[in-house]
Amino acid sequence: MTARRQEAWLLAAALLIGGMAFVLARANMGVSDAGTARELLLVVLGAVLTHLGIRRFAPHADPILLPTVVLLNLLGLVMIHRLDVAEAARAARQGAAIPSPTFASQTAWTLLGMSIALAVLVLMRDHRQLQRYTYTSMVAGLALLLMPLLPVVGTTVNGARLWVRVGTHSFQPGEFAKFALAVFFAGFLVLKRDSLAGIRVRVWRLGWPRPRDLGPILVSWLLSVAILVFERDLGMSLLFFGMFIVLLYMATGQRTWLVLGGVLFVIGSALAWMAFWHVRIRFDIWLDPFAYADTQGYQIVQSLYGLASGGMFGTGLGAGFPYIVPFAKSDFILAAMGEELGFVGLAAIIMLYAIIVERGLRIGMRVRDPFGQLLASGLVVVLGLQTFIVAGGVTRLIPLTGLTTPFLSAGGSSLVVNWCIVGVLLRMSDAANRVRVTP
Amino acid sequence: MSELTLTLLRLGLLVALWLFVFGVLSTLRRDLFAEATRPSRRTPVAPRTRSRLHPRRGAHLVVALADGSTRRIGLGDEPITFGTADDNTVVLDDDFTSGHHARIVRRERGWVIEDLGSTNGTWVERRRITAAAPISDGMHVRVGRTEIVVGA
Repeated sequence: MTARRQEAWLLAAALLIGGMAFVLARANMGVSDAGTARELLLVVLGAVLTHLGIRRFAPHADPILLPTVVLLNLLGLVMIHRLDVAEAARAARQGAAIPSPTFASQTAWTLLGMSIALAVLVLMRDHRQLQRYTYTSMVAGLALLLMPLLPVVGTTVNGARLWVRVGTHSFQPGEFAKFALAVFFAGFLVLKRDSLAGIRVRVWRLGWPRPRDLGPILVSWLLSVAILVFERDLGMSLLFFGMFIVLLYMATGQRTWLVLGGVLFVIGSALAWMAFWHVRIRFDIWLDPFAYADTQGYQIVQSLYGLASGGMFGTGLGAGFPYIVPFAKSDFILAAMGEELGFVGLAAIIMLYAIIVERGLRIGMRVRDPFGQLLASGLVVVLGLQTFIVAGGVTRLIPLTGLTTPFLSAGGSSLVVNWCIVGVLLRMSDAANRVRVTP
Repeated sequence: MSELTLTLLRLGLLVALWLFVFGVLSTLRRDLFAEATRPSRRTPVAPRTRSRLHPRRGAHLVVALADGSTRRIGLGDEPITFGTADDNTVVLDDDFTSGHHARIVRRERGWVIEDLGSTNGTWVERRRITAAAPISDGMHVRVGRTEIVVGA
């Protein structure tokens, strides 16, 4: 079976499962209007067009990425629609104005994301073009990260300063910085990995880097501490530092970088814990959420109750109470999934993420240039790390941080950037799988 | 819809999700298997006529610079990088060479040359390389306008 036919079958399966989820959720909630039919049809059309675009512009691309991502995106749309209906019902009961549904805008963002993935395939014929923008990406990434701190445009939402508002539109620049910094780290480490890997000072039978090679790791550490202090964003801070350490390890193959990164991370966390109240309270909630069940711990406690009531097989889409958890559409969408799809369903979702990460690492192994190897790995390491931080926070494995769940959460910035990452991965896998004359 | 249909649909959805996951995993396994049986896809084999360059004393490069002069560089454990930037091992003053153009690194069995994303490419035996290429005695390498001959 050719790769493209395989992709078509998997995509058909993904669309079918998404459709099934929609039917189930609406039947359980007793909704029968045709309110979502048009949007749903557009998403199906968008997915098919993306598939056709891959056939035309990247015929050797990986056949698994697109269907997996489409399935995750559809599951997110179902859950968002389901929470919209619950919110509208609650508003009707209280006699309040019915909030405008998030579903419509999320579909629009999905379509935009798909078009951007296609645009990447059409406009970027070779991923090595990105290597030219190594230092441009660094500047862009830093500017995006620091943008929310600017007066006027920067906005504080729920205690974290990570939004930028322009007119009536707002976006999270951190999500875009994710992509820019992956490009920068890959380009930078390709150039510097010789000195970062080669020269060692022997202490305690282990080879350690020279003091002057510690520059990059210290700078990225300081940057992540700065994000934590000034933007109060634990998630992004952890994400960027984690990505840099993992890429450093991948580029050099030296485990000492992981050790150094771990030590710096512990120092940073300890300092943040001592200096900042908002870090300490998150830590305390993590250790004993039920002591704060009615105040700051309300969200995580409700999330745990939801997961518990879901049990093994879940309450069924549309039959649970996931809307009790604040921010169920964005930060806590995994808790909503766990409640209504159960452990079995949530485990399947985690498997979908694992599949995406595996594909990315394989593309990294197959692609022939060192920049591409690091870029593919970096992009999926970011996705995997982000999913881990969110899932760990929602299930109380690690302290809670505010990050979006890739492809599932409501939020345009995150969806568009993640689809862009899919486009780049598809382009790279096309280059890697293309049959060529080997010397 | 009746209670029974809803329950069937609910469990059916979970089964469908896992079928999707297993469907993908089975293609992945095929993929991994194919990868393992394919003959050394990741390491292009050097031409058979020449013996591999083994790490021993005397292995060196003769670099013919664009200005006509030549230099002899010994091959060792340290990587050798070529390019116009000052932090290279061999700094080349040549408009056809990129800042960080190529490098030669020691692997378990000899040395390989790798292109670092240069504009004009690195050429081994008149072929532009796309992956790390093993170099052996007598091979001809071109970086920009610089010609390099490998010696043992």
